[in-house]
Amino acid sequence: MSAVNVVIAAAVSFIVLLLGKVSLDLMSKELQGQTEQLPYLILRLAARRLPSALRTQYSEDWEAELDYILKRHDALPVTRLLLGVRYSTGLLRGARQLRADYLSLPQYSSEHVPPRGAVQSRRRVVRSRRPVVRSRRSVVRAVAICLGGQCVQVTRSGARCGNHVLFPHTRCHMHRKNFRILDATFIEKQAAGSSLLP
Amino acid sequence: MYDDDIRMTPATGRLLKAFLDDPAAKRYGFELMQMTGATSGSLYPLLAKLERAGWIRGERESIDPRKAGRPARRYYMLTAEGATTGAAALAEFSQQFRPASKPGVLEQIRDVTCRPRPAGGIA
Repeated sequence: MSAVNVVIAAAVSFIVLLLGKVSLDLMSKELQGQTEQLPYLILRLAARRLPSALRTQYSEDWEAELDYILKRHDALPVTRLLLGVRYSTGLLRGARQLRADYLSLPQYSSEHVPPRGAVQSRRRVVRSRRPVVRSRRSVVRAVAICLGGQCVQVTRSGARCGNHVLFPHTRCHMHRKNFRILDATFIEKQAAGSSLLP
Repeated sequence: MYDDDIRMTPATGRLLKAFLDDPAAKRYGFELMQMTGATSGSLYPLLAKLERAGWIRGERESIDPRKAGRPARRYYMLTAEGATTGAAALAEFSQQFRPASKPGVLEQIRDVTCRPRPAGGIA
C-alpha cells in the first residue's frame, strides 16, 4: 500500500468519524428536544379534559409550573424530565376530578352537554330539578345492574342505562362507549327499587 | 364545625398544615406537592375546593414573562378565614385520631412493658 493510499484512507476515516459525531450530536439534540416536549404534550391532553371555562386559566398555570420544574437548576436533566412527566401525568387525573367538581356545582350544571358520538334525542334526556351533586353522593360504590334487559352501569362517577343517561363521565363497558349523563333522578329511583345499591 | 364542602381527609389536612405553618407565605403548586407529598392530580382539585370555600386565595405572579424568562406562576395564600376556620378544622380532624386519655393508662403500659422477668429458669 502506497503512502498516498494511507493518507487518503486516514482522511476518509477522519471525515466519516467527524460526520458520525456530528450526526450523533444532532440526533441527541433532536431526541432531547422531542423528549422535553412530552410533559407539555401530556399537560395539553389533561387541559383538554377541563371544562372550557377553566381550561385557559389552568392550562397557563400548569404550563408555568411545568416550565419551572423542567428548568430547575437543582436537579439533573433526567430527574427534571421524570418530575415533569410525573407532574403532567398526575394532571390527567386531576383534570377529570376538577371537571367533575366543577360540573357538580349547581350554578354550572347547565354546562352538561352531550359529547361527540353520543347520540341522544331530547326526549331521552330527563332533566333533574335539583343539582346533580346531591344525587351523586348517594351512589357510593361501583355496581353494575341490569334494568329491563338493558345495560346499566352505576359507578361513583356516573350511571347510564339504555334510554337514560345519568351523571357525567360514564363508560358503558358492555357497549364500550362513553356517555355524558344529564339526570340523576331516574337511576336513583331504579336503583332504590332494585336494592342493589348500598 | 367547618364548611361542609371541605371534606377533611389526611391529604386536606397535610395541605392545610402546609399553609398554616407559615400563614403569610406564598405557596406554589410544585412547592406544595413537595411539602405535602401529594401528586398534582390530587393537589389541584383540593386547592380548587379550598379556594372556592374562601380558605385560600390564588393569584398569579406580577412579573414580566419576557424579562423573567419564564411564564408567571400562580401562587396560593391563606386567607384570614382560612387561617381561623382551617386551623379549627385541622384541630378537630386531628382530635379524631388522638387516643382517649384515661387516667392511669400510662402507668398500666409501664407496668406491662417494664415488669421484671421472673427469676429462675433452666440453669
